[in-house]
Amino acid sequence: MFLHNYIYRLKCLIRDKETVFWTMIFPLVLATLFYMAFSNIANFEGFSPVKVGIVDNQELQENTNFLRALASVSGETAAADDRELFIISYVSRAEAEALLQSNKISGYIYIEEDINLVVKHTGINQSIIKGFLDDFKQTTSTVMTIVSRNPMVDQGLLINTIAERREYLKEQPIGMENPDPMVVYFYSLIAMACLYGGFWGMKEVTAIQANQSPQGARISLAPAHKMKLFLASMLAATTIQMGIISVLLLYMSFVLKISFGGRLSYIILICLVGTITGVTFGTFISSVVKRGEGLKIGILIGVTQILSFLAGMMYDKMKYIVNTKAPILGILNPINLIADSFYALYYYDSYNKFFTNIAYLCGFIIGFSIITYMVLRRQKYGSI
Amino acid sequence: MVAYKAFFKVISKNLTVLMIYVVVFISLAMALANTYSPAGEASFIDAKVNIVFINYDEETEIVRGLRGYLEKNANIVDISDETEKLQDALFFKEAEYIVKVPKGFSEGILMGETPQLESTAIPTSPSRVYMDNMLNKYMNTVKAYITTMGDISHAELVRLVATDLEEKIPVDLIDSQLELANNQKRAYYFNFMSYSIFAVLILGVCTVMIVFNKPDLKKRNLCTPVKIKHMNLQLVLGNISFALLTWLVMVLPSFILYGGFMFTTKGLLYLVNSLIFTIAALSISYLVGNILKSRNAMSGAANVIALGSSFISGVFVPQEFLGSTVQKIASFTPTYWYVKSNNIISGMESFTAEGLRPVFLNMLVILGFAVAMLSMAMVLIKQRRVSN
Amino acid sequence: MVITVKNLVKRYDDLIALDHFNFEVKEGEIFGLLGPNGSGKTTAINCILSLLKYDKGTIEIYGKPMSPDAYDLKRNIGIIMQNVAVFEELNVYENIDYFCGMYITDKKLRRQLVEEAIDFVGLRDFRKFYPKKLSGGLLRRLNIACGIAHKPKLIILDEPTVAVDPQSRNNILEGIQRLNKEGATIVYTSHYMEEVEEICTRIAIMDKGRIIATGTNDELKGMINSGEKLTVEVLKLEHGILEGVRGLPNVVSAEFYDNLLIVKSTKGKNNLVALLDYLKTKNISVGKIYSEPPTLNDVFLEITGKELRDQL
Repeated sequence: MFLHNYIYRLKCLIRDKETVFWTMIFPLVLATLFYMAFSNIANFEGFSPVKVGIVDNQELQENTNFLRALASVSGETAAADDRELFIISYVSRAEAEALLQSNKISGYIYIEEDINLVVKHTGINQSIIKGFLDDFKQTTSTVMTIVSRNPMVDQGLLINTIAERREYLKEQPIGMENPDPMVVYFYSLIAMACLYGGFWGMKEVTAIQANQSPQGARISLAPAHKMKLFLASMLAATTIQMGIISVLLLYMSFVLKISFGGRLSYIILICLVGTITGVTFGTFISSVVKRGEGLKIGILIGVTQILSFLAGMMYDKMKYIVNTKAPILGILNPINLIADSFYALYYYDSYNKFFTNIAYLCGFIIGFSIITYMVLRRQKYGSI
Repeated sequence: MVAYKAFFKVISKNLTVLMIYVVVFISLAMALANTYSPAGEASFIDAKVNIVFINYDEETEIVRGLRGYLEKNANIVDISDETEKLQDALFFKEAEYIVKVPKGFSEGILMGETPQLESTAIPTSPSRVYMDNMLNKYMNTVKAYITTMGDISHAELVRLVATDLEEKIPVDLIDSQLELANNQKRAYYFNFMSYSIFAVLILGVCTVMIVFNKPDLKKRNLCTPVKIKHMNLQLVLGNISFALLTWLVMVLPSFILYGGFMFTTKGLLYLVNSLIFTIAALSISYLVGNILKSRNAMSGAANVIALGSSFISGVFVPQEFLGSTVQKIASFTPTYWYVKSNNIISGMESFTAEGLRPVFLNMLVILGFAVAMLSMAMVLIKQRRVSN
Repeated sequence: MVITVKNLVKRYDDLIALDHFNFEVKEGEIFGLLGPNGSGKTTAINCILSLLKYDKGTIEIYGKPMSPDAYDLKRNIGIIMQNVAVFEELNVYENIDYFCGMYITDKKLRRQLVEEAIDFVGLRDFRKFYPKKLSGGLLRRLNIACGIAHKPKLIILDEPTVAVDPQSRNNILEGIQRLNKEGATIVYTSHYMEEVEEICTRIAIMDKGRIIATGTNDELKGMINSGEKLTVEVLKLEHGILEGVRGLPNVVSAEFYDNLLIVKSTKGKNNLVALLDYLKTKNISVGKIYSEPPTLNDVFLEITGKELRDQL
């Protein structure tokens, strides 16, 4: 009986081709688009030299050290060594001001006693100029100190040691993988797809509730325990959504090469828990909101959008804002929990985080199920 | 105008649903525009980065000096040295950078060797490059003193390095940072609005069109003496009214958030641009509404079209970060041209005919989309009638 | 007793849908529940099936109280709902198999039963069709097949012939009689009195949530005063004649229009003769003459003062 119902429910769901198509195609297409949008960011080294103006006055010409420093990072010699940082225009103060106003240069430098920088606003290019100037000033200070303290210093040694930049840093990965903020988008997309399992849950409630469809009324009259029937329905809904999520996972990991940290059994577990959360979420909405297919779908879409947003699907920093300003919102957000579980697998060595999230999700599943059960248990209706 | 009236009756029947969409997407737009921090803002760094400093070495002068330097130029947060705690700290951005001083580091430095500090950070974060530079600069300066002044005392060495590194050049900032941030936030609100409007229009128009396209109802409608052309015209009119209302509701928050700014040339340009985008979004929604048959499919379609086009068109990820292939693909969506215009408008200070030309050209492109999609919808409707 | 309903009361807010509703169905009957649209037939059926809550009363099926989890009872009931309750996503065979599978777990037996049901309703040529492709009549037949495939002892049909073409209707009515012959007890609701008259062994007439009369076809007709309806074609009726006719013994009413004199009279043996004699004495020449026995409509009309049929 259970199997009979399960198989038929599965048939019914799979043959709703339009819904299958869209629930399957939307995460695939979005994953592809995410991938396209981010692929360039990850290797955004495409650095182009910064345009900078320098006020050509007597003080500049007198500061030979500065001119030498500039020459080492601009012009043809620097370009040949791939060290070209700046494209410099030597101009008058007024010209520099005009160039800056028309956004032709990122900033200009003038020397009056000290080296000064003028910029319109802050930004990456402006920071590069400032970094260079600070560095020059600090190095100058070091050289001056050394020369004044040790006038006998070997000039060659001094120049070499100043010019030689040693690397004192070694990067040490923190966890399983080097954390890549872009994966947050993909994980929250999977989480959103899991929650879209709610559509199937919704459909199942409608199909079994006597006051929501004629089929439901008819089924209520069969000599079978309603909860048994419903369990079969839920299993069917979970099966089909799991299928969709599996396709999505395969696509992401084999075609888009998104890393999941590679602990397969745990990945399957989180997908399953996430999908069940989604399906019970749908049954919950469908049993609480009595009428109007449109309204139910509206609520499902609306809530899912807000939750995905808070989980960082549209703006990855949102996740951190929520976590720092209102951490409870992170826990009350199943999409966030699912996405975090993936992230925990990918990023942490231990399973603590992962299982904490799974536990919260199970809490959601139990909550949704109890409420659904309370509503479904009522088998007689005031009106049909 | 029977169909037009019926259109609004169907709308009002579904008002709760439509309101859900409108409210959700407006609140997303407002939330995002308010929390958005423009890329590169943190990069003119006198803002201090939260870091964790862990020492496995002895408490040497060098280590103390390094810590003192970091205390001045960053915020050292106190997190115990356990892998998971540190992972958490990075994950929740309590700290953005972790530096560990290995055992024997100071001794190595004094011997003129190049021992290495262990650093951990989220790779693409801008603070990483900043902190890397800061630490390397410190150590290289230390090295310079040691190689040239071998007999210097450690305390003196640390003091000299600290003095050197305090040197900073003065910077004149012409624009107010606040104004700049506001400017970017406004542009962001309007960019994000393309997602909201697109999603609401697809969901709203589909909700209604699915009702009108139900086979029984459609057949019944075809039997009425109202000409099909008129019928469709009335439905299109209904959709236009709905789209205009949506647009009004969507731009309303911009008046609340930005007040008088909306009445400046810039504000008006944003408004006109978004109105033109609304028209294109509507005609795409109308096409989709005539293709879809079930409400379950609707959300999938809305997500793919609205969210997808927003992602590749630079609503969420700034356009300049997108690869050229992506931009080429994105140029087949009106969103791309809309965002492009918004970005141009945002960067404008004077409004010359020459400067505005690309904006108006983009508007023409967007209108072209509207016409193309609407004709496709019309062809589809006509063809269906024949085949049925 | 197969079904016993006592004092059933069901309210929808202010509207009393069932008002102290009583009836009994005996083994082997085809029990007809006849009433105009909105009289509470479907509400009564839904209450009996424990789909609806009711305010008062008891319902027993085979002597046991009916409840949502009375699975032993449900096993023996076949139900054909007024709204077609089949899955758009399943084809004819699958729909029947699905519903049958709720009752019969043995696969082999089930296959046989489903095939039998398909033949029974004459859908053999359509077994792979999806509901969308079926005509209204065929869809109704599918609905019936889904209800009877498991060979229930009690079959409840709620308006199974609404909006069905005459051919399908005959197929359905014959089928019901066949099922009854095979041993099933049938409860049949309809507002088509001709159907009820044709197939039901016992009939309850209901109006405004009450049973207003119960009995066999003949018993019901025996209950009322109008014995027969006489229609006489006359060319002209002089003044005073109509009053004269009305004055005849047993005559209940007399109307004249379109050259037809329609006389309704109570039971009596010589009503026709008496009328013709009277007309003869008045020298009225008579064309065609019909005599009709009373219909259920007359029964309804007499009890409630209104027509049973839909007013056209």
